[in-house]
Amino acid sequence: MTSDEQGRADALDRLIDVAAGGKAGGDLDPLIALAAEFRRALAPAPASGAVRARVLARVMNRVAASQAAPRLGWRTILRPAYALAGLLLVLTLTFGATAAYASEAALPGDALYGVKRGLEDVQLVLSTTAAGDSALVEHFADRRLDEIEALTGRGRWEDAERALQAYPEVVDELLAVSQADAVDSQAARLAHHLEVLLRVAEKTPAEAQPALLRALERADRGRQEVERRRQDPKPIPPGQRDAEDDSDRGPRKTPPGQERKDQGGD
Amino acid sequence: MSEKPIDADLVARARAGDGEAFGELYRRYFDPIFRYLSVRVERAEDAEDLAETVFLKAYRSLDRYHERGWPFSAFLYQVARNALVDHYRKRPRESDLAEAVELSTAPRALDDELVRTERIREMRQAMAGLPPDYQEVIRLRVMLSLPTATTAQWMERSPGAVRVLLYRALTALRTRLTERDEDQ
Repeated sequence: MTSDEQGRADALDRLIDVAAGGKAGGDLDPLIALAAEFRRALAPAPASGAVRARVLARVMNRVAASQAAPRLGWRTILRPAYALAGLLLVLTLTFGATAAYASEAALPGDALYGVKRGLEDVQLVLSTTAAGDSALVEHFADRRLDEIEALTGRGRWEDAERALQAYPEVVDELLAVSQADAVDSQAARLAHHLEVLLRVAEKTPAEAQPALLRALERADRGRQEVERRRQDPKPIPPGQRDAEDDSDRGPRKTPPGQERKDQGGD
Repeated sequence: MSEKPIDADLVARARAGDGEAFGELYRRYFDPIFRYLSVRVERAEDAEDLAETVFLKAYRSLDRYHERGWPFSAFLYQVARNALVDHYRKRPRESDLAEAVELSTAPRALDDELVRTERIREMRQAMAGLPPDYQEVIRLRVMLSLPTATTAQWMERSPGAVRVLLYRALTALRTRLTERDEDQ
């Protein structure tokens, strides 16, 4: 190697990063242009958030599979029973608005959590439009995510695991009430959910990893479904879900708010 | 203002079972490792599977990793190269990536697309005829746009040696492409 070659190599190394157009006005131009052409044509795209989430989930799942002892209670009840709206009204009237207000901060497993979910049902009952239902379900979906994050932050793993197990249904409901003009916000919402679940994955112990993996996969499939709708915005009949989404689950209940409208015929 | 923890601290914490520390390492290095794997294999799903293998092996090998001037990203790169060797052993290279590149871009006029596809094929063939270290420095420094310092750490060479290697690699590549053009 000559000092001339080293000098040209140093200059080239510097210029291929700064001469974006492939020209620097010297005899190194052909090499700079070649590097620029290769970079334009062959540089791989960055990994999408979904790929990052999926691979991490698979890694953590395999780590969990190799570490975790067989567990009991895997098929415990997926979510607490909702308080009926009428019962909730009675409860609110009986114990006053304080309990209802305090329940806002309740997490799954807390005494007042049933009140919180019951109040949500009441709000859905009181909503009279599909757009109103959609906005509420989106708000409640974000709440479920916040609850998962709060539970993992507090180390309440059993409650967190139950919340994660229930999460796929949250995505189902979100997609079922999705409005045609809200695909962008839905896509952004689910991308955010994936990010949060990815953060949660870093703290989640082995026993909750299968539930986390399912939650991640459902959020990712939901995001893909929204992307498909964005490209092919045909109307989705109320309550009708993608056959692909149904392939790995049994029958599910009609989403809150939808049932009322379908049955009522309005 | 809090500074980002250095890799060695994160590795030590991850080794002690801190999942959050491993998550931070994953966030830092998933992209360059995944993109490197993407330029080395034919199919996107293979890159994803290999990335899973790399980070799983890295997680399980944390006890055996000692920094000693060898950055964690270079350790991951080495694991990735080993994973690629296994991958190619099981599945010999079939074709170049022209089709994948073609599919990944926006629709263009057919003539433009054919010309572009043919050019990419020529570029890949010219690349394939270079010595392995020439190919590697072009992948890392040009296709992945990695800084010279990182490329040097990954290839276990000095930055000066990497600069000379890149100069020679691009010169050889240009010669091959020019000869090909003259033959046609």
